[in-house]
Amino acid sequence: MEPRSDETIGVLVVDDHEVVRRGLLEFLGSEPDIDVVGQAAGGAQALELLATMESEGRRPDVIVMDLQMTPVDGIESTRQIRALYGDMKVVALTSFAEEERVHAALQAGAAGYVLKDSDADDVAAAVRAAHRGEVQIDALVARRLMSSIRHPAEAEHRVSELTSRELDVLRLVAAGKPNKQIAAELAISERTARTHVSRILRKLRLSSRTQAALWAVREGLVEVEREPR
Amino acid sequence: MSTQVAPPAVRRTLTNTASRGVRLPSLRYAAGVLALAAAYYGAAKVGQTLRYTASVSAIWPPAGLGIAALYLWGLRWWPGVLLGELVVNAHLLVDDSIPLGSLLGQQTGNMAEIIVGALLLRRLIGPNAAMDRVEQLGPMLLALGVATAISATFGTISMLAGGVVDASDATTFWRTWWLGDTSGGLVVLPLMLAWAQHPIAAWRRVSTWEGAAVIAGVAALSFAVFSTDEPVRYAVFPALIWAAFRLGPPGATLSIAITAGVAIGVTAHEGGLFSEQPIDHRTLITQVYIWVAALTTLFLSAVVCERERSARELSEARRTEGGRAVEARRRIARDLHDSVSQALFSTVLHARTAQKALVQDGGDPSGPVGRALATIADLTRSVQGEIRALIYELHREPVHDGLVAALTRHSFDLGAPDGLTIKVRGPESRLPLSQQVETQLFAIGREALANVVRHAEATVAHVRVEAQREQVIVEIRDNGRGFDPRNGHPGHFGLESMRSRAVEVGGRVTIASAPGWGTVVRVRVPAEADGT
Repeated sequence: MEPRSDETIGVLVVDDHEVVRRGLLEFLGSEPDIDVVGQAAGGAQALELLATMESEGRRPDVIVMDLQMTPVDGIESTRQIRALYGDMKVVALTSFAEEERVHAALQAGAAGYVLKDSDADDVAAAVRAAHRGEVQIDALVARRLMSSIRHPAEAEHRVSELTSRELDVLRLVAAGKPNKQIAAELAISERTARTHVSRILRKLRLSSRTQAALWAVREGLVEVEREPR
Repeated sequence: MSTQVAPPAVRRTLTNTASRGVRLPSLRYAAGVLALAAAYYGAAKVGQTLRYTASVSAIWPPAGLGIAALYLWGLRWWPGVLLGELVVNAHLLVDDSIPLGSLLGQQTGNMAEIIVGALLLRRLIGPNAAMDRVEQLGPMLLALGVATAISATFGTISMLAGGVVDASDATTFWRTWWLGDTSGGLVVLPLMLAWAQHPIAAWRRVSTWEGAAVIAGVAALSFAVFSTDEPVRYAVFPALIWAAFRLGPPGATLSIAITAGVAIGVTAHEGGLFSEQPIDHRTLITQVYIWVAALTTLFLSAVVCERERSARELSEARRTEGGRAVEARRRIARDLHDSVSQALFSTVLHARTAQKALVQDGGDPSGPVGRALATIADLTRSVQGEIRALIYELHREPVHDGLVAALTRHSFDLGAPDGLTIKVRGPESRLPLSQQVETQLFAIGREALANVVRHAEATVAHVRVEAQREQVIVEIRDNGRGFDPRNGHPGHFGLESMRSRAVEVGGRVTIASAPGWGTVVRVRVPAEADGT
């Protein structure tokens, strides 16, 4: 395989339905800025492939992951991949019937969520957003996730633990800004921005930027634009 | 050390085993025999309150007791019957100077009666009959009739031979003996069969307020009608029928025993002891009364029992059927999801790829190919929507994490129109309901909320789930325009479907509404202890 140019996003497609993989391959491959570098029919196969790719120096940037697979489901696969390759972004592809598992995928560290009945362009948009360190979440899923964050009293208590600088960072995270952009806007180094984010996550007892973003929206810290769906 | 200690221990164990193997069971057996003998003797004493000449009584409960005991616990208890019978006859020998030969003949007849009765009963209706099936009653009557005929025949011949009764009285003597044994048997035998299998369950069934009222009613009415000379004995029957309908065989047989006991007691008290008196009208009437009361009540309670059983079986079958249907729906949903949905998603992707390729190659997106691709994309999207709705209906076990969670989620999904707020309130802990019942309640709630969204023009809808000690209430209340329940309800309100769903799980729906006053739909279902 040709080494990719720096501008294109390398994507690995993981789905146990061949028909879906083929569709994603064709569609994502036709996007000028996306390069499908591999496909796998399951979590185990994906990990094997990633190890090979890693050794060959052509690791993907974003993994499009079906959540409902056997024997290892997409949530567990996401957790494993995120543990091994922390810089890779995972966009979860979910079907209508498995929305209750999206929350678990979020805990596992997935960065984007697309329903399998979205527009094709939404899939590409989610891949790009994940690559930029942003979050793109299906509107229906987002609504449900927010409703499932519980114990508002406890959360209120926790928000007071955040410093005003951390609140600024959180607002930018919630706006879907990557660390680089946060750093630029607040005139701090990218490393400092990253430190702020991880401290926020620890204080709020959350496990991903996505959760933090949702939490901030729910707490009214930011106005969120409704997604056009 | 240990070798010195071990032998005595072993020896002691052996001795214990030996004594347990031989002595204890025989002790228990002896106690059982004595208890049976005592019960038999007691039953005979009751019978002798309505005693006619010699040893013949207007009602003879020991026969039924002996047959029931040997039927229930086995023929090996026959010595108890023999012993009880011996004591009864010893009394007759000493107190009434009935010849020894006649008594021996009578004793033989009574023993044969009980053993033949128990064997016939086993043969005809098998073990463990609890008088809860109509088909047990006929054979029971046959066994009792044959067995008592043996006793009556032996007894009559013995008494004739001993010169205790005249040949001219032989027919009446036989008839009285036979009727006495059968009516006694009809009281005691079903009573013991109905109570012996599950005494605690039987007691639970009877020991309610209603049970106490019925039993008291039977006793009071029996006293009343037997204390008067007016021919009003049939007045007891409503109480007996009540018992048969509501208390099952345990209550029915107890009621028979009570009315028979009162009948005998009052008749004996008023007429004095019947010995040395001719068999009069009243003896026969008492016997026939017991016969009719027992037969009517027994048959009725067996029929009611069968009806209850088939109702239970029907609802069990419905449940199984429902479970199977759920399973089938889930399988179809899975298949749809695995094949159709994935292919549709892929089609969307391919169509989009083609659209982009068309533009890239300089084609006209509004030309024929472009339009066709757009149509493919649109059609696919709409089929996706339909399949999604289908899978939603088929696949979801909406109450998997509880009714309240399901209703909360549903009110989010509902995508309520602007201006309508749906609030769901209820316990987060598990409800005392099976998942099947929760599923039905959820369906009712969904139906009611759909009505609110479609018709009510409400601004607020409250869904309230409340678990009480014995029931669970689900209430859907809106502040919309309401409707007039008297005007019948338009079919699309789905009220009938709510009602039938509620009935299916033993619950009830009430709908309160008035034009301008909103609508309250309230469902109550009985709580279940073992919700699974």
